[in-house]
Amino acid sequence: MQCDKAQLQIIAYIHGELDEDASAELELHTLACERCATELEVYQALQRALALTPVEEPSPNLLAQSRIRLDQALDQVHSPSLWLRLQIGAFGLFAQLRSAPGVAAGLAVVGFLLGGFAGQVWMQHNARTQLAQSVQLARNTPVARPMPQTLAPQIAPVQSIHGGALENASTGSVAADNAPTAVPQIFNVSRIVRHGDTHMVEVQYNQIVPQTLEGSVDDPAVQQLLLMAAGNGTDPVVQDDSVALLAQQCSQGRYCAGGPVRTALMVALRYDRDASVRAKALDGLQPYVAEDTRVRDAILESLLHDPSAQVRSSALQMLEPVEADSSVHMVLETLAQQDPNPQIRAASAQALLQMPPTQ
Amino acid sequence: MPTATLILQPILSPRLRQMLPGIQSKKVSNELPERIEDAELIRAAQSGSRTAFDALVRRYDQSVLRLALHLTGSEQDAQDIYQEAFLKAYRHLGSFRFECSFYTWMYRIVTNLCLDQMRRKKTRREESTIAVTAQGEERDLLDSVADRRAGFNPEQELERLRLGDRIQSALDMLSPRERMVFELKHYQGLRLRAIGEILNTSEETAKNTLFRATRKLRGQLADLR
Ligand SMILES: [Zn+2]
Repeated sequence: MQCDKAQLQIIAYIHGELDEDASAELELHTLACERCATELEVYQALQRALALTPVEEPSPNLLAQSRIRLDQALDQVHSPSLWLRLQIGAFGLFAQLRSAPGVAAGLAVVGFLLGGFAGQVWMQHNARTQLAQSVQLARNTPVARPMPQTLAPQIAPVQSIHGGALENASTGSVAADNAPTAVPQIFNVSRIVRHGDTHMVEVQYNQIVPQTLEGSVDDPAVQQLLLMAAGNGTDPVVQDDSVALLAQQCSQGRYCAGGPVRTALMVALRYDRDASVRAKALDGLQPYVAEDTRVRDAILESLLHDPSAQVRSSALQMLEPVEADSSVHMVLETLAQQDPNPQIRAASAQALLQMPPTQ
Repeated sequence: MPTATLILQPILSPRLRQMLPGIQSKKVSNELPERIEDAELIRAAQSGSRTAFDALVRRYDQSVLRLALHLTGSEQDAQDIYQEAFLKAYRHLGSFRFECSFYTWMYRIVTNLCLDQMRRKKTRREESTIAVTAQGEERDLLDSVADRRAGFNPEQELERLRLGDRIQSALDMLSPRERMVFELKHYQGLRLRAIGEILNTSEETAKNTLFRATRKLRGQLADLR
């Protein structure tokens, strides 16, 4: 090793940013070279001096004060508005739907507004009946199944309950599937107008209308829905199915090039709580280990973190064809020493032996 | 011997970096449940749950405050940064897409705010005509030592305080960016790759900045042995 290279590496070394091979090489060099040994000693002294003034934890008082102040400020911030919720769309909407206020909850607002118990009962009774009728009507109307134009679940145009009478504010009919499950759900109540001193009130609300899309897995619209479902943490079965489909396509080398599908699989590999879903995601990523460093990164992470020995072990096998860069080396070394599973420890040690030395 | 150069430093995520040898490593496989919990909290917060957001705050706020406090050296500034950072996170949580860890995302916000604050402070300091060096400052160090607990050596403590002052003024000589990279590496123990990710730059650039910062500190503190 030459001195100028050693000098460069000393700083990386004292910061723990030099891999084991290079560190060993540097240590060897400083044994023989006095100039570099002195240089190393200077930096180590600097580290020791800095260690004399460690970072202190903030005082409990300061932390408590900060929390209270933040809490007050957050109270002032409006809760995420409708447009934000729509924007969240793909990721948050389904979760939203599940907890979406039902009809009764929406009308409770009205009751509260009217202030009178009698008024509340009257409104609820009246509107609920009419809503039910309208749903019934929509269900019985034969509607051609519309293809979604945008892929967020469609929010029907604003509707109004006007003085207890339900009107469809849009001219078109409410698109609904004929399936018995296709009951429109109230997404939110967007506006409430009181008519003078009367008991009449206008409530505007938005509906979510379930839709079905049939098509080949190659269809971009289907793809987009699958992607959305893969990131949707609320229904594990749906999530599982979509990850499996996407992974299958990826491992066949189709529709994985652009990135979003690959990203969805990496997210599933990192975050999905179901080991079988993570394993499927892993399969789908297989063809990209060598070329895509993000994929390799995700796989290395899963090797170190995944609680399932099964997943770790498949991840390990995927690394075999990968040309050994120093990160792969470091992870394998860690695994060989620390993995709780003895077979994985042995396989990692084996893989390390077979790998060509770091380039 | 093969030439393992720094340029080939691996491409690893922050969490992975923290796991590798040479850094205090937590037990393997503790991390996933933690991340899954994070993911669930984030989803709930994205769909409007304040409770979930509060829980996220509680997970990360101590390290945010620690970082801001150490970088700015002022409780007031640290508290302001804390406040602004979490308000920002609250407003923009909808745009979080799980493509990096929440930790990285949160630290991006915090380090940006800290950098702004450090730049403002630096400008103010440079505009001020009266230069007061740390050594020249009239400070009754013994006073601040006197009320500490009995049974320790006040002279040693005085030495420690002096040393602290010297280190502080050496750190103050760094540019805000150098200071930040050095902070994240030396004091917060992050890997260069993670630092690059947080500061929206390459690992290579982060490394060069770290080298520059370390050399400058060495120049300032060379006599400390
Ligand atoms: Zn040398």
